[in-house]
Amino acid sequence: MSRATSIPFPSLLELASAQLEVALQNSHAHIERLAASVDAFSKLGAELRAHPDPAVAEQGARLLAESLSAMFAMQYHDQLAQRLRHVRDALGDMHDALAAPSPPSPRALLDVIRARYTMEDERKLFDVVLGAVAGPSAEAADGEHAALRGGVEMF
Amino acid sequence: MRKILTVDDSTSMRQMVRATLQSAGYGVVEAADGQEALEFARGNAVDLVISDVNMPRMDGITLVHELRSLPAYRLTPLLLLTTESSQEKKLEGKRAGATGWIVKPFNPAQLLSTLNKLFGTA
Repeated sequence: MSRATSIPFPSLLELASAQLEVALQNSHAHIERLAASVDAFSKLGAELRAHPDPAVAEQGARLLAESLSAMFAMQYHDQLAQRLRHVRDALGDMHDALAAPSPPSPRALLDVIRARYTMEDERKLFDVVLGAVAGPSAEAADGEHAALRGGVEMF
Repeated sequence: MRKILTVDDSTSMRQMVRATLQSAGYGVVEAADGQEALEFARGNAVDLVISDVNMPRMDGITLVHELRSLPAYRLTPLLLLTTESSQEKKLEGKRAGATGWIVKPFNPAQLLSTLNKLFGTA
């Protein structure tokens, strides 16, 4: 048996997937706590904004504006969690492929992994790294969404 | 007070959307997935729905399709708020009857401005 085949790849993939799952679970409760705090600050800001004293009302408006800015920034945690889930799931796909009695073709496995992605930059990175292997179907026509991020498109 | 139904399987995202909407005086009802939202919608009307796309049990595009079959939701604005950026998914949302597509992370001020336009209060 060669050195390469003695490395327990399926178990290592399972371990990496489990490590990501633990990290996601650990951060989940904390980000909810943080969101609840920012929510409370925004409510306080909205209440103070209606205060008859203009100085207090101004402070309330500032508190509310800062809370909304914090909420915008906090959404990047949601993106991070989604990206980690996609990586975790891809590791699971690779584990299953390695452990299967008749493994799928490399192309089929890559198609499954790419189909898990929801964000344009995930697909672009996949295509840069694996496009030559995955073939033409990996090309996505979603470039226009780069400019749309954070924006609103009405139908 | 206008009532908005927000649908997302992420608790923190729901909290952020709720705080944004409440800061502008909207009433907010929340659901954790499309199925829960649809069950609520069958017995209650709202003025607008903001839904995530990728959720367990029922995704946002199926929810839009189901809501459009309810008489009370035939003309209700339905916005999809998602990290999903594929053209294919966006077209699916449009065909299902969505009113608009917002890519996360959402800008609170821009979201409120959009609602003002939809409600004719700009």
